[in-house]
Amino acid sequence: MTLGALLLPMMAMAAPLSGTLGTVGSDTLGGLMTQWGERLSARHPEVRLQVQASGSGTAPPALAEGVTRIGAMSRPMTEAERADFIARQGHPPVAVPVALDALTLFVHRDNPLTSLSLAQVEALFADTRFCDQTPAIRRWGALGLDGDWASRPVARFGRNTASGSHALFKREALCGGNFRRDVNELPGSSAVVAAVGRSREAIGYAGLGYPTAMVKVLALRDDEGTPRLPTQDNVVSGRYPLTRPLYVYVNLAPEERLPALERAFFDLVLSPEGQAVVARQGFVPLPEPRLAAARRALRLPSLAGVTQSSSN
Amino acid sequence: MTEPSTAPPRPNRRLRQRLDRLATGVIAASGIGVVVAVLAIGVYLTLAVLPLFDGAEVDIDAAPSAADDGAIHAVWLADDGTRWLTRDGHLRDAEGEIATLTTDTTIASVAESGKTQPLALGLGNGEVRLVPRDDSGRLRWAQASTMRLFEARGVVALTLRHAAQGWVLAGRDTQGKVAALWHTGEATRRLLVPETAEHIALGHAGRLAMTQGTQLTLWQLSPDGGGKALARTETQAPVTALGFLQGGRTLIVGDAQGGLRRWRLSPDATGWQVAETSYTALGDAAIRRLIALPRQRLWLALDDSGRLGLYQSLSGQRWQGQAPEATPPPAVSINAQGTQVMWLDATGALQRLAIEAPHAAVSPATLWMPLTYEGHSDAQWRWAAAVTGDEEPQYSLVPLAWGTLKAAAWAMVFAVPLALGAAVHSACYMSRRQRARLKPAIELMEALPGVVIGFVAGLFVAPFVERHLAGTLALFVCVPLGSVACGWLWRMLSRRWGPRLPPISAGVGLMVPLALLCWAALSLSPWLEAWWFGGDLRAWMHQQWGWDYAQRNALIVGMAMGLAIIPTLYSLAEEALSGVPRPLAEGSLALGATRAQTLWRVQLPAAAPGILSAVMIGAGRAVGETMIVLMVTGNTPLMSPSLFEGLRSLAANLAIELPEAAVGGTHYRLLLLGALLLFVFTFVVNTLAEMVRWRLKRRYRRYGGDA
Amino acid sequence: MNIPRLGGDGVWRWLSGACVALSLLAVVALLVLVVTRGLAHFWPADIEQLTLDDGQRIAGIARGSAAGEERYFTANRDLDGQVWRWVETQAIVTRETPPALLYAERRDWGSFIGRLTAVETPAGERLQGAEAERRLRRALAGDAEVATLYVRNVEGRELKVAFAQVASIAWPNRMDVGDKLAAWGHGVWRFLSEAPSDGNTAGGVWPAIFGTLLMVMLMSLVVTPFGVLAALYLNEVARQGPLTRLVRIAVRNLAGVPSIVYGVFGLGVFVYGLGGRLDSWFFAERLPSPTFGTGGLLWASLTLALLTLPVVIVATEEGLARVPVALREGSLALGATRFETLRRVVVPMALPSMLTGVILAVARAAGEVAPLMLVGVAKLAPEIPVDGEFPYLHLDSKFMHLGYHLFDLGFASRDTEAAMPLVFATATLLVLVIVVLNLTAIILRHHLRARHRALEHS
Repeated sequence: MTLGALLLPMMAMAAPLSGTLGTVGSDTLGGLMTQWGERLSARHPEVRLQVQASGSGTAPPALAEGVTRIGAMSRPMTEAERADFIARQGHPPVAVPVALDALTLFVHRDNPLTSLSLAQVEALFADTRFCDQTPAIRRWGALGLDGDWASRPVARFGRNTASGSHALFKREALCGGNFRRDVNELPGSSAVVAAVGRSREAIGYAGLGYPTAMVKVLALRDDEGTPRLPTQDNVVSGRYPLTRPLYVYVNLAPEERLPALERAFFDLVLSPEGQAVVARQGFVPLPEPRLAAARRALRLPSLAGVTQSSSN
Repeated sequence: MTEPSTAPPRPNRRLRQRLDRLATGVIAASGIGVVVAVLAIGVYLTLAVLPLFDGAEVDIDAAPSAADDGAIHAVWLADDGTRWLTRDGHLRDAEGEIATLTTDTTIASVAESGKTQPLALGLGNGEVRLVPRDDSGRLRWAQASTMRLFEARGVVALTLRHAAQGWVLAGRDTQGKVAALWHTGEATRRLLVPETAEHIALGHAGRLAMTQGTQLTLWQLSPDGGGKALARTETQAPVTALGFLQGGRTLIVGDAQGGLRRWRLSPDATGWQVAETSYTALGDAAIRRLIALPRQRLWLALDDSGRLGLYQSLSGQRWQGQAPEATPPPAVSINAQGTQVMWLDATGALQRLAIEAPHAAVSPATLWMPLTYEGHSDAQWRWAAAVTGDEEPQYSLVPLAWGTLKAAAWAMVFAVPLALGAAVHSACYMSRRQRARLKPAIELMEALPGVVIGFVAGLFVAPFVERHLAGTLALFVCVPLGSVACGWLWRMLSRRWGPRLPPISAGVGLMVPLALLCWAALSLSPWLEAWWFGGDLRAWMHQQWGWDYAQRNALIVGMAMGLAIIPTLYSLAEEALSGVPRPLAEGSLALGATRAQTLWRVQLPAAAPGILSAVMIGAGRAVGETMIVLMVTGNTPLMSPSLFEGLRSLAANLAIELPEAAVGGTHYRLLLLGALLLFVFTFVVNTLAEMVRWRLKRRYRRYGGDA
Repeated sequence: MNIPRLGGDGVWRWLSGACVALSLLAVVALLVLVVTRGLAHFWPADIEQLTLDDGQRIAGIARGSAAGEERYFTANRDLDGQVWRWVETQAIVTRETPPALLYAERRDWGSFIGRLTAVETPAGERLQGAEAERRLRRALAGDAEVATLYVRNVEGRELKVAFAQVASIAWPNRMDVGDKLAAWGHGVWRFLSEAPSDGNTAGGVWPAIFGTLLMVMLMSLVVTPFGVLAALYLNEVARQGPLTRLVRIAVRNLAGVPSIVYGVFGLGVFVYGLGGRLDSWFFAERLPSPTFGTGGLLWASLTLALLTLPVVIVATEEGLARVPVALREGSLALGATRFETLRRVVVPMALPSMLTGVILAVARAAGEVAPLMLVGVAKLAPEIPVDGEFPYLHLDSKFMHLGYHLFDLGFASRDTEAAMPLVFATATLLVLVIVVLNLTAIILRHHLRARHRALEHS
């Protein structure tokens, strides 16, 4: 522990922080960002966080154009987005993982289905067969349900193209293929869950933090055929197949120090308090080593340092 | 009233007149301002959309070359300047040598795949040298590593592509033998393909295309070092150039007769199916080189006679010109945006190609025609914005225009009869006082925000109708029959008790019986389904007619949006009907016609133009309504006319996708094109409607009406 | 007795009557649905304690049932990991409503249902039982201090809650109707006066109300002069000819252009065009962070001003047309210039109709959401764009809007099931604001017409 790392937070405390921090990006992260915003204002009464959450796709153009310095994304930036950012800003953006999430498949609570394989997911949602060649699934009977379920049609719900969930689902579950045109695209993850909860024949995908009383979470079968529910253990270990980190991208040149506002924000997000918000929102907090790595990457004092300096 | 001015008029007469002129000027200017505002919207949208249809441009200029000998093999565009790679393994920039890559052999081939994968150099001794990149995509020449691909013979052709967690590369030696390396992050496996080839190209997920004469073979490599032939086919002429486009799913083949074709692999029931489409040829000389650019699935073709063409995989040829030198370049370097290509010609001169084709993926054909996209076996109209830049852009406006018109049409189906009926009722069957009470109610209805209607319809009505479909459909029969039955009952009652009944309008009086009727029909819904449709109307519809029922469908949109446009339609139609000069109707009644005869033969024909304009303005509103469609439909870009399937409208599409679109990009401008279409449509419809109304007013005035 | 025939006349009369009835019915049903659900949200419902046949105990608020199962809102997300429970009706052995069950709204983790075991004062004193409850009630009233609450759910699991975390506490099972009414009123007041909390799924809508009002006020500042001037041009200044016809068609067209197209125009011209320019001239030191080059209050107001321009023009014109020609001619004959006639005679008489136009424009703007999604509305902007800091009114800041808040709650909050009552409450508020505005306009117009009629007859 260097003296600087101890002194810096204290220096920051000397003059009260003030200002407004604007963020653009993921709707999945929208709830988290607003909660972090509330807590940031509690820590620094003069600091405000403005959250615009219409989808991960909105973050890269906003970051590249300099419309915002912080962009929340529920998927990593693509090569093209990174290249655009580097072309405009001259340095790569810094991706800070802030939580873990899993793309979760939901069905109505009356649906007897319990698990799916990835090939079945593609056959349900895609027009193309880039991963596997399972024929298209149109009735619940094709997934092994019997009785009156066998002849019921499948209604599919998903997110709009701006969302990271959409892009990631497309890349991971459809191998980059195209969605069926009759997949309902709704402008919010909870809208997907709500729609699934209101239609008995529905299946939909969204982030982890959204289950309600009306839906059931499906397990996904891994390579060995073992069904895996998106539990905290399975997500942290990566045994659940559609696991993803949620990122907050920040426009930070390699030799530049994080400006005070951004610093306060990330200090909160990557703290036990910030990670408790993650758990409360139904996502999975970052495991200890990844949290420490993320703090190091931003040159934030390590967590032990924070507790020491605040107890001083 | 107003007090007379007490000020003496004379002394400031000049001032007053000047003030008068000034005020008149200001007022007139703001009147003109309204016209300007309308024009400004149209002009802005047009200006923003026009660049979409600009032609592509390729500028070729000879860049200054530091080469003083013919030993330069390739040139690199780095972020901080240009680098030269000499055949004997030295890397230089404008100042001098940076690194020595090899000392004991020569560089025979180069391959690159994007700005995150390493650069591969094929050496004259059968080895491959890999130069890794850092976070920003800069090459780390000092950390290059070497791997062996062939025993001894030089690697004359090399192709590289990223794969899950690593990369794949394939090379061809001087005798046509083909070998591949698959790097998975932990291990690198080598694979020898048991066939010879003249040209090779690597596609997505280890798919290797090889040609020998007219024979085209597709191999599937696997990370464990295995491989199998997926498909074999004959081409029309001997293949002279080969290349996979960005994404690695579309193969471009150039042949000895100048033919350029696109090959797609798509899975079907029997396995893999290969389909081809041909492009406008450059000429009849053999194609020498195909260069895939990293954006928008653009590619360059160069033929033997030096003709150079820029193509896009779906919209076809975008530009054709002459290359400075006919001989194909040994190696090319492309920047990350795909806007600059550098190559060396045979004389050692450096050529820089600046490619200006920001919206190459858009052409009338891609907007309005069905196309066969990657992974599909038939031509379709598809709208799927390429958000991340890796996907194939699917930019057909047809499904959106279709959805817009479909939603508007179904809304009109619901709204027109109801609104016209209500207008007729209040114009012909209601007293002045009753009308005066109804109007504010309808105006309040007009003020209901779309977001409230949309939310109730989307989250409440849609699931309800799904559960009570039979009952809902039964309403369309029950309500008209029920209301006529009520009328009949009323007449029975009035015969019996006559004057003792309260004087009540049919419109208001029907509310309670109709509410009861609706409630009865909806609660009988499960029995209705059980009696006639085997318990499940939706399953029955599917079996009988093959109709699928989506929860978010045109029926709900029609009802919700119908409710939103009824007030507009009603007010305008009522205005037209009550504007019909009274003498006309009174004359008809005096001549012994019944109320209904007068309505159908006199009043409706006289008001027809006004009603038409009301319908047009209502349609204009329905086309542009955003929140209702956004919240009620599933935004599915389908092309089905079915009442029970979803849709995606231009307006809702704008609301969802515009905030996400990069400003100035193809997607952004296409969305603005959608807005322009909406603007033009409503402009034309409203102007026509206004002209109709104007003429009607003139006609009424002639007949002595009070409108 | 002979059966009466319902002739063609009768059939059409009743069929067209059914159209009126159906339209009205649909609106009434919609309003009743929204308002009853919205207002019911604040009613403190009884908490039931269920004992199941396997001995499990559950406490919650009944919220609907389906096919032999009942749904309970059980709160306590931190203890159970969920806030809903489905219970099979057959499995329920007993149902009680124990008076000791409390319902607490917390700033974190949502609501809590359970019993109070003890409270701790800031001095560290621990009070139990009835004394604890008395102390807590006094603390809630602001008469005493409490640091920590010790509560336990029906299964007996203990929980410690800091008093600062508690937004409200109620014992609904103990309340009589009067208490409940008071609690209901208090709930409504908090909804109107507090900022949203817990990721927009709890708390109130004050910033959204304020944002909507401020935006609408700014908009009317812009739209009123332009709308009135344009109407004056059409009615008073211009000779009725091709040019006025062109302007009239333009007004119709402005009214017919879809609102989302205004949003696109606002985004392209105001935000990126004007805003970007302003930034590079005046706020260059803050670039690349935009000041006016991103959606905000000013641009939203301007966009909506353009959108509502036709409303003001049409209403003003109507009022101007009703000013008797004799008055105008009288004024001119007395030697007044045209401007003076306008200022002293015509405009004062048409003033109420202009006001009507502005009120209608405000009502329209308050309900528009689509264009705002493009030009500056935010999911959460709890600070109000007016404060003590120069320039006091922050035209560049993003703001919350009731209509968008409604959309956001319904489509993007974490648990739409739990947020649904809040959505209905917000919808009720929005509808109420708009209905009140419209009624004002209607009544104003009614009086106006009566006055004019009197004037014409005198």
